[in-house]
Amino acid sequence: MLVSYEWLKRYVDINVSAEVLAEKLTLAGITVDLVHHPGAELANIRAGRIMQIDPHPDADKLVVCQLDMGPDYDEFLNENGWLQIVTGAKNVRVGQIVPVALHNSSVVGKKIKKSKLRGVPSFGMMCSKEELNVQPALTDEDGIWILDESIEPGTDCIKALWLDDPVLELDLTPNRTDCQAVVNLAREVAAVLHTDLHLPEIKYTETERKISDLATLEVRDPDLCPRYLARMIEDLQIAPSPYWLQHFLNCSGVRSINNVVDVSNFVMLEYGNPMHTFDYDTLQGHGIIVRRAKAGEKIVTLDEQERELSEDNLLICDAGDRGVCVAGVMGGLNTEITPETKNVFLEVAAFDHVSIRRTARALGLHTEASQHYEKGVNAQLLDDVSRRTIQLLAELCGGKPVAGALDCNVTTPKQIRVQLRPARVNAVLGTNFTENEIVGAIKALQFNIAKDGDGYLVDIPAYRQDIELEVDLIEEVARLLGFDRIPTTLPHGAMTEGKRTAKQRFLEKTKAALVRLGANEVINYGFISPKEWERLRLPADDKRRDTLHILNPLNEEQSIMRTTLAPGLLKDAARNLSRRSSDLLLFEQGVVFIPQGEELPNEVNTLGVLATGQQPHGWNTAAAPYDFFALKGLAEALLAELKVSDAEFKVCDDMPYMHPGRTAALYAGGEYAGYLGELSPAVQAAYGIKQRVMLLEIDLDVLFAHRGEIAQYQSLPKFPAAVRDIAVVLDKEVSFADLARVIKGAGGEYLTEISLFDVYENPVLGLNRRSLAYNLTFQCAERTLTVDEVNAAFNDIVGAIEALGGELRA
Amino acid sequence: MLEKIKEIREAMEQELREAASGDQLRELKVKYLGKKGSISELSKGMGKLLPEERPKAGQLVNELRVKLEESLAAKQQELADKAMELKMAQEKLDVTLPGSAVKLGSRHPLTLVTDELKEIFLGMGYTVEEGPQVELDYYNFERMNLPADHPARDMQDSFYIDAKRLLRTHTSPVQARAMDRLCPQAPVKVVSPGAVYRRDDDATHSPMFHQMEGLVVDEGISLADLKGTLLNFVRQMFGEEREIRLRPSFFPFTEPSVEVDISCMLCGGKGCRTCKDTGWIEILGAGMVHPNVLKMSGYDPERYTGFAFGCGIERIAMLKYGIDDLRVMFENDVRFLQKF
Repeated sequence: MLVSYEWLKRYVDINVSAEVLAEKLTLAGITVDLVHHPGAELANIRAGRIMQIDPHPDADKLVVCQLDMGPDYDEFLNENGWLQIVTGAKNVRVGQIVPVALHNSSVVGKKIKKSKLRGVPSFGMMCSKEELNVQPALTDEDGIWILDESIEPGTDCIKALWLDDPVLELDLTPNRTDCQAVVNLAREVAAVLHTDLHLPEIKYTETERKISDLATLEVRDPDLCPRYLARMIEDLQIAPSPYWLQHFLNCSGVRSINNVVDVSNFVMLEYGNPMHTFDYDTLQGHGIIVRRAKAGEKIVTLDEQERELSEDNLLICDAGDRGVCVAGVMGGLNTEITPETKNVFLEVAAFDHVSIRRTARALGLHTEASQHYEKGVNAQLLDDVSRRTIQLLAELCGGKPVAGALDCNVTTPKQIRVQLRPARVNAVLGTNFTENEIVGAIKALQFNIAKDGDGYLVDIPAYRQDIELEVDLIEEVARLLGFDRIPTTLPHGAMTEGKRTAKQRFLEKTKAALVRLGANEVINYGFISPKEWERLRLPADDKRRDTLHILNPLNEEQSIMRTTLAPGLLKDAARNLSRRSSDLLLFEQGVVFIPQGEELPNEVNTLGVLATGQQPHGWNTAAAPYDFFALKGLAEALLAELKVSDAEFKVCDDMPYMHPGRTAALYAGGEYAGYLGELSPAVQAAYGIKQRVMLLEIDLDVLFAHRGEIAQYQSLPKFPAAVRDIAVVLDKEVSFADLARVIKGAGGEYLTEISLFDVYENPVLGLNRRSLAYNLTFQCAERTLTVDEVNAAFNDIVGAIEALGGELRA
Repeated sequence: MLEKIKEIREAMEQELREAASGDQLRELKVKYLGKKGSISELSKGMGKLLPEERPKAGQLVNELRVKLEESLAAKQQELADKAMELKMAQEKLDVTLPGSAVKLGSRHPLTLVTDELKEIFLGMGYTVEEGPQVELDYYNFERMNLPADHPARDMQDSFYIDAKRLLRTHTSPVQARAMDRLCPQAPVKVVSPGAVYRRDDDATHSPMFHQMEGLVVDEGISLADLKGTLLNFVRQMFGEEREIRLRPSFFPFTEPSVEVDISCMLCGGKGCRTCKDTGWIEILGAGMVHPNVLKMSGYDPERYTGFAFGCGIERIAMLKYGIDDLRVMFENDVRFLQKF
């Protein structure tokens, strides 16, 4: 919201600069984002009277003007005491008063110096409104700004025309939309600066003609229109508005149209209440009917667009049941104010804000009025607003106010009275404000306050609908006495423990482990695109496709809630690879959203890891790619860190987006916990990735459920271990895990460790056979094992391997 | 005899001086100390001496032997030292070459800030509460004193799943859930960090971002307690010399409501680009818990009061690490991530 500093000064005494005012208002909760100085660039502009206009000797399009610059100006004058200026403007006439940018002056975007135009000296420039940063009125003709006759030659235009009037840009919080009204803002200024208010006095003289004799009003849908108040004014003269009105509207970003339209805009800004003016003589039947539109009913609005309405829209009709205004949004072209308008029918109404919001949205028509109505207007203030409008129409347009008003009102005014206990104020704020200070703050707001027992009762004026409870008044006290006066203390109640839950510690530990393992954490959005399922080649019945859909997404890319972290990680990888970062170890720890019917989804804590490219290596170490086993090693280290002891990796060949021969499923305590492996080449290509990608995804809630306790410490073995090597040749079909299980089963109680140190494949070993070599460690806590004991255990192992079809490798 | 001893001694010293290798030393050892060496020969020659001369000569020969053994040992050490030095000289490395590759992992800056916030408030006796990101409208809005059609709902245009469920627009619903669980216990002291969503996507807004909110409910909690708590927090997070300033503001779930500014850490309050020449940077919103919110959670607002605050993790991360573009937070470029 924009408001002129001079305008405010008309309504309240201001003894500080615009900047200081802005800071004080901001600290009192009326945030002033910025103080604009539209005239900052302007300097040395004076009014001059055109005394003579001669054609330019060498240019058809230029004229040579002689100006009287007033008695105090004496530079570059000719023998007549006039200043010569050459101009190309078409609208100059002898006798006009115009703004003149003198030698060494500045206007918007340029410095003005004396010069010669086609050989004729020119000692300045006559200015247009644009050159002085003033928005032209709709009625202005192009060219030089012709000033009012009342401005004397020599007058400093910057001061006289308020060209240096600062404009305050406010950012109001939703509870203080009352300050959209300049009068309420002025009240706030008075409370903050402790100065006097001079709000406009509303008074005018009515004629004997009564509105009830001239017009009718019927509100058929009072649920959407709780109050409709109409007044009339006759015999007015449409004309340009006086300069002060144009200026204040300009400062608020409203263009001047004509006096009638300007008055209604001005009062809307002044009182925060929109209104509408009809040309009375165009209203069929001289009456108004307020009703819901019929489905498909059409109206041409002021912007000359035909609008089709529905039954949800409130329509203002004339007594001929013809639509004349989309209520609260925009008027109809058929009854608009024209230069010929003589008699005005004024509508000041309260409409249901939800209905207005829906109508504005449905029509895609967000006007100044609709925005006001959407925030809600106060039905109790309509009478003031209508009378203020009539007053100004009478004063500025020469109209004759018709007596009385038509008022359909189903609202009941209520007087809100709120308790205020000084002790409570200090308890809530933690302050020691005196009773006088507290009462003084409320009085500064001009609220009525009366003693009531230990406390006070405060009458809340209708324009402050935000105040309903004692705390609301406590806030008023705090902001007016100043938040800087509030001390700093700490809660002094019972001691509390700051602690994390076991789950929180587990999740933090997981992150810490990944960082220790060298991974970079990424964070992706919780929503993804349904197109990811095609890229991932998920079959139509894959359970990951069962997602929550966002009803109103910003775009398709962000329209469903993720059920897997894979797409986010793959996109991160693709983006990094395209930026030439080719070696990646990324992890994300976040939730995926598993729908549960109408209930809230199950938000599953999930870990995703993506590895691609080369493992860290330098000039002195060989490069090794991130492959299946690199990722599995990382997973094993993580499981060890999280003390998940009964984890098991199993073959997994049915993951749609993974390589069927290079993917393992992870089980914890027999429960499926996730997968890891190599991305399928087709999916890799679908993400535009040209190198192998390893991917892991683990359900951390499952891991948490199967986390182990911290192992009890057992003293280190005192007796030496016996280590035997064994190399076994057998069919590839026998997995490492199967063989390890057999060895472990056969090795007896003293076999404490089986460590694989070599896998060898060579046709000489036989078709589809390979060699696996292990270190077997035998150890007993109580004594040194004998050679015979170790040999016996070793032989049992060999026997079991042979039973499996294996043989010792020579 | 004495002549001979002297002769051998001089020859020996001469040869020792000239010896330059271990092999030569071994040869000298054989030549003088071996079974057929010069000194053995001398010893053998003792028999030819007069009995009264023998002790004297024996002593001299012995001295010669000891002297020789010592000299040999010293020479051996000298040669070994030289060889070691030579070897080390040959082993010289260019120590300015980079070390073997060790890659450090990294936490996302948003995690770093969240962890730091959690630590600060755990230290002040708060517990960490988490809640669902897909939330009921009831908890997200109604329990936060934002009934249906409240104009302030426009402030946070939301992503809806259906009429009842939406992506939470703030972490405040976690507080309502915590109060439901804890009531009538007091004090309540919780912080709730997490991801939140709003329908906004431009240079300064991300449709998903992160917040941490805090809530304290007890008898006798005041705005001054809020101010003191926030001052503590701000100084731990941004440095001991920071000051805070409260400005009135509006949130439906707090009253009074404040915006909290901190003195600019870049210019120290003198005014710079970061603080737009005001000396202050807006950092969070806070206030006293609205009586309606307390009431809905089962706490009698006459007896209990509370404060709440909420800050944007992204904003703090940007201020703390000098990140000037919100979008890089979610691009996950490793060159960015590895800086943390």
